[in-house]
Amino acid sequence: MNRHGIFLSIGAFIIISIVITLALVISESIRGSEAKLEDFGSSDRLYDLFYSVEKSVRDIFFVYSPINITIQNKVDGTVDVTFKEMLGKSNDDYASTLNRKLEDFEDFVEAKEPKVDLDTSALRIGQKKDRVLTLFIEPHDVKYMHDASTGQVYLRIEPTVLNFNYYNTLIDTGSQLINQGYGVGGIRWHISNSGTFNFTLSAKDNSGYSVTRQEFIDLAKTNEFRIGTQGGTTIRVILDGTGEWGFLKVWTPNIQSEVTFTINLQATNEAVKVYTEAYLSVNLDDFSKKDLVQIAP
Amino acid sequence: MNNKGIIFALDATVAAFLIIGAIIFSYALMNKESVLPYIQVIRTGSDVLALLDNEGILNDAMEDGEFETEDISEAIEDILPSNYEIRLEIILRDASLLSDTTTAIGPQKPTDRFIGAGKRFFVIKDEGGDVITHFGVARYWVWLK
Repeated sequence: MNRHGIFLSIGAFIIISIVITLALVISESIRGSEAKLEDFGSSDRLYDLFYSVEKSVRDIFFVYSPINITIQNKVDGTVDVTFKEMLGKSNDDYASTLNRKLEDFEDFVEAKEPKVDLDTSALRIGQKKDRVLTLFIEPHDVKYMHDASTGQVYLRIEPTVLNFNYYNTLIDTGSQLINQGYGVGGIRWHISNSGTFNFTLSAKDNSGYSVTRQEFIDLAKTNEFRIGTQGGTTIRVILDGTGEWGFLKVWTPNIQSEVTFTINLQATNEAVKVYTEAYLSVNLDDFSKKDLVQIAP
Repeated sequence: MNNKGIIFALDATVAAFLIIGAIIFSYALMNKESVLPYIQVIRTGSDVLALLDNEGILNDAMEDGEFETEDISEAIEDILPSNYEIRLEIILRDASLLSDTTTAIGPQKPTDRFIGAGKRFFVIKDEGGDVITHFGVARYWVWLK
């Protein structure tokens, strides 16, 4: 009889243990669901905040900066990234309105949402020591630089590896007409050595005149092209061989010219994107995201 | 006879535990199921606001310096599933004067159910698209009817 009692007690103990364990498991599962709900909720809020602020910065940049960017995927898998901007403007012309709008937007965002930290100083070139606005083409790691460090704005292209196929540069001199007697049809060139890199330079003006020069050059050497204008000033386009991978520089002194620069990038599995040096970070509960601001596409 | 009594008592105790366990189990299951749709509620609010922004409805609501909410309300009616309700609070800062105005759209928030909430920043351009006239932040609260 005693033995029956012991079995009964053990049986009851096992059943009670199962019930308690089950209750604990379910309670943990509920807590887990609630935590998951908070996680999903927070990650959605983080996503909304991050991408809406990034989109707003992009909108402000494209309204007030002189730079337009287009990315075109080609049928052969390569990608054309094109930058179009007016050069020859003074730094103040370019920067004052954009700087003010970016600063005001930064203040607005941080006042309305203290968990967002937005730093657009890298886009406000007038306030940077080196006065250089740098855009990065990723994943190819090519820098496009709008450089106002010398007082006159010029542009520089700095690839880090040879992962591109060609450069096309079109310069519209506008009302400063091209001197067709300068060099051949208005373009003079100093080519150190011929090579295999495809470089095309075109120029046009408001009269409807246009000229194109295509050369296969050696990126390891320095090559210089000049476009002459009737006013006597020249626009210089230099492929700098001292840079390891064909740095390109365009100067348009005293002439307001629209420069359209296209770089053809080799095929990659990743989507091509353009970033600025400005950064944005959002911290929500256990979630945070910090990244450079994407400016295109 | 006494032993039988003890066995009955123990039997009853075990049965009571099983019943209590079953009640806890079913209560927990009911609770667990009611948690999951909340994620959908939050996502719905987020999607509605993203659509209002990306389709330019927030931008186009600014007419001659006045923020008109009719088009936003109509768009919400079209977009929002019929079993949801949403309230928006939009703060606009005039980009020149740097003064703020607040506009609310939608019914008051209920106090007896789950409410999903979030926030989205945006900018408003003029008709030509070459001047930023306002900075905005839209906060939403969304719930099941």
